[in-house]
This record gives sequence, C-alpha cells and structure tokens, in this order.
Amino acid sequence: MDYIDPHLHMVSRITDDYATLSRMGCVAISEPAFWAGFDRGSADGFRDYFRQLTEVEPKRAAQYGIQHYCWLCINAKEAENVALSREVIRMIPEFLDRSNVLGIGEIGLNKNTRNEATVFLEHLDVAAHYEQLILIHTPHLEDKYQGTRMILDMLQADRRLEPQRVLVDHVEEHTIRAVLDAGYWAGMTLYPVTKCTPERAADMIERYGPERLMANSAGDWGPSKPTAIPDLIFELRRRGHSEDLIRRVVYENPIEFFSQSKNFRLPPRHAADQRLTV
Amino acid sequence: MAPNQVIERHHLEVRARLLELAAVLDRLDRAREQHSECGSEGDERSRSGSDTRESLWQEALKILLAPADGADRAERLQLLFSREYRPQWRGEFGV
Repeated sequence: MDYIDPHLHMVSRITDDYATLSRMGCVAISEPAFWAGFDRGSADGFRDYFRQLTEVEPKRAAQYGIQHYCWLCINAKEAENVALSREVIRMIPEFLDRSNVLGIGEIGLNKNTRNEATVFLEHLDVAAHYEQLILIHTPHLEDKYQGTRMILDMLQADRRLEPQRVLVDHVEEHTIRAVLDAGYWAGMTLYPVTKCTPERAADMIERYGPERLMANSAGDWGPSKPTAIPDLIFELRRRGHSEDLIRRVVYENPIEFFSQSKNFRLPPRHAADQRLTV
Repeated sequence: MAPNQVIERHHLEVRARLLELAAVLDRLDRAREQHSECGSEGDERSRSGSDTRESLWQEALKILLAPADGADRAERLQLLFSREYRPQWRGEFGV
C-alpha cells in the first residue's frame, strides 16, 4: 500500500533507509526541523541545516521515487537560548518560498518553561503572518499532558490560526481527545520504546476514528524505526480493518492536510515511476 | 476482534510482561533486604529505598485491577504519570 510518513528526520538516516522506505510503499515524507542531538552555536548553523532540508534531502529522496517536504523552525530544546531563537526565527522567511517547504515546525515545548513558551509564541506569529501550516511537537513522558494543554491554550488564544491548518504531533491516550475536540489534526508517533506502539495506535484509531488522524515514525538518530508505518498497516489488517480505513490514515489524511500548502504537489504514482527511469 | 481473539493473541505477551513486573518487584525486595543487612549509612529514605515513583507503581497496579470503566485504563495510567496542568500558567509565566 502506498503511504506517506508525515514526520521523519531523514538527515539522520542513511540512504539505505530511503531504498527500504520506497520498497515498502512510502511515496512522500515530511521532515520537520528538529534537535540535532547537540545545541547549535549560531544562526548560521541553522542556515546550513535549512539548506540541507530544502536542497539536499529532496534530491536524495527523489533517487528512490520519494517526494521530500520539510518544515522550518528552531526546536523547543534549543529555545532556552531566546536570543539565538530570535535570530533563527528572523531567518526563516528567507526559506519559506523554497519548493518543498510546507510550514513552520516542529515547534512546541520540551520542559514546558517560560522561554520555550515565548519562542513558541513567536513562531506562531511567523506562521500566522506568512500564512503557513504548523506542525507541533508535544513533550515527552511526564511532561506531555501539561505541555500539550499549554500548547492548546496558546493556539486557541491566537484567533489568526485556523485549527485545520495545525498538526499536533506525538499524541497519546491522554492527549488525543483534547487535540481532536479542539479541531486540530493529531499525529501518533510509532516508537519502539516511548510514545506509541503500532498496537496502541490501532487502539486509538478504533476509539476515535480516522478523521484528522495520522501516524508517523518520527525516525531520527535515536532508537526509532523509519519503517514503523507498515507495522501499523500490518496491525490494522490483522485486526480485520478495511483497506479504505487504513489508506485514509496513512495516505489520504496526510494529503488532505498537506494540500493546504501551495508547495504540496504529489504526482501520481506512474509519474514518479517515469522519473525513476530517466 | 472478538474477546476470545484478543485473549488468544495477547496471552503469552501479557504473561511475559506480568512476569517481568513481578521480577522487578522481587529485585526491589531483595535489594532492600541486602541493604538493610549491610546496615549502610545514610538517611531513612536511602535505607528503605522508598521513592515516590514506587507509590506511582502501586497506584498504577490499582488502575489495572479496577473494574472496566470505558476501557480507559491506558489513558488513566498516562495521567497518573503526568505532571499537573495549571490553567493559570500564562499569568504565572507572564507570556
């Protein structure tokens, strides 16, 4: 089955992963800007990172018939440095017209601090000003519930932001309802240890239905599995769910959300195949 | 899936996870016994090995054993292990 991974950090993955993803049916990826595993020391470090996301990765993905899209921001872990964050935020508009940029992300909270909230709000302002889609990271473990509620407070207080143009990622059992009830899109991240297993994601699909719900691998440089979405497809089939329902979650929903960006244009499968043979 | 299919599919997995949990609790008991026999120095908390996280484990086990109430055990467990949300946080932060 063709599918889209809406959250995958391919700068941290090897080329073999692109080959495997392509063989498993992945036709498009969206890659949010994130923490590199260390705090970057200057805005120029982010400029190079944004060039990697907008120039290098699309070419690498195209060799395997995969469309590559991305999101730009300074992530919550580096937001404690407010001065650096503001330099990076000022630079983001330079890149918004690049052909694979879908919006601002993954912005959010990490430890739910004042500085993180300040930088999150300034990112929202850029997104609203430039009419960009938003992809949001919610915190880990014991910080997730508090942080998700804080994020929803900030989103709902900004009347310029339309809920259907915001994806709140890494939802779990205790945060999914609040996100969907408020009209936002929700992403379930399939991780081997933390976040959500394919089985628990299937439980949430059964409980809340497929509307405005997506799944992703969030594959990165840590313990993660870039081919986790096929695991979810397998689990849903094992439970006897229809191909229509599965396809909606792993393919049609990402297309519906991403299509709100002028930069998203997924060519039909046969066109991608032809490009591979050139 | 039918209830019997769920049990059939998950029996060995649940058995294995329960065993792992039992083994961790046994390990903790043994550590307490050994620590106590050694008469190590330190405060009472260090000697007993008591920790608020262990209280959370006990609360979590109660949630697992509670009668079904909307099939929301996973959600309740997640909330148990979560920091509190304060609606007035923006005023406190001044943002």
